[in-house]
Amino acid sequence: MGIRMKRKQTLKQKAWLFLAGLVSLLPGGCGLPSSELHGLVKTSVQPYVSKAGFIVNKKLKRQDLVSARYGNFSAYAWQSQEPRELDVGLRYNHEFNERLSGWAGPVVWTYPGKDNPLGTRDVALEGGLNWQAP
Amino acid sequence: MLHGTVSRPFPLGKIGGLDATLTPTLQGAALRNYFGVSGVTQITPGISLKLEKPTKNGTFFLEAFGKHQFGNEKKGMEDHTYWGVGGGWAF
Repeated sequence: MGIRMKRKQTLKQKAWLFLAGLVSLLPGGCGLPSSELHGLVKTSVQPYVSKAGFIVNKKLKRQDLVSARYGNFSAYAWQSQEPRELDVGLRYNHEFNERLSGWAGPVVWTYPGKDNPLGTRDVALEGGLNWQAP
Repeated sequence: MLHGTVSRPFPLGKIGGLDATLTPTLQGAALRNYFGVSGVTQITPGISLKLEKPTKNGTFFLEAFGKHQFGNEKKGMEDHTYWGVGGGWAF
């Protein structure tokens, strides 16, 4: 008889697990062609810079993005340090033509810091248009 | 929240065997929320230099970027300048 370990997962861990599960289940589990699956893993670091253009915090903050797209639908998780924020969202994407594309979908913004005046969690609908010049 | 982005990539050829692209961008956002904040909140011009290495398993990339957010102070958004470096994998 094994020992069952109880370990409470944070919201961040749950979000990453959800996204990983979604990515792993999408093509194979549904019998759909995996060639339709596209993903993006991205991380960046940047110092916080004040409005006057001077660095006020030399500690680099990191931002990470993981997204998976299947057909017109995509899911993503994005997190940043200082201020702490974790966004998890779903999107419907549409390409109007070679230059213009758009997207819309729900997102959950989470602010782990207790001192954030915006609260700890918000749900929103977001949409966007991207136009790329020739 | 509605986002808008206009960009124009300028291919720079090869740098160190990697495909280089310089891309100026102009981003904007409009918000309408529970707190009664609505309208355009910020306009953010930026520029990025991207170095890409296409492979059969996707494209690996490195990126350096700079942005300046012109915030709408009436909406509680401040001006900010950001720059940074990053990297990733797209497949």
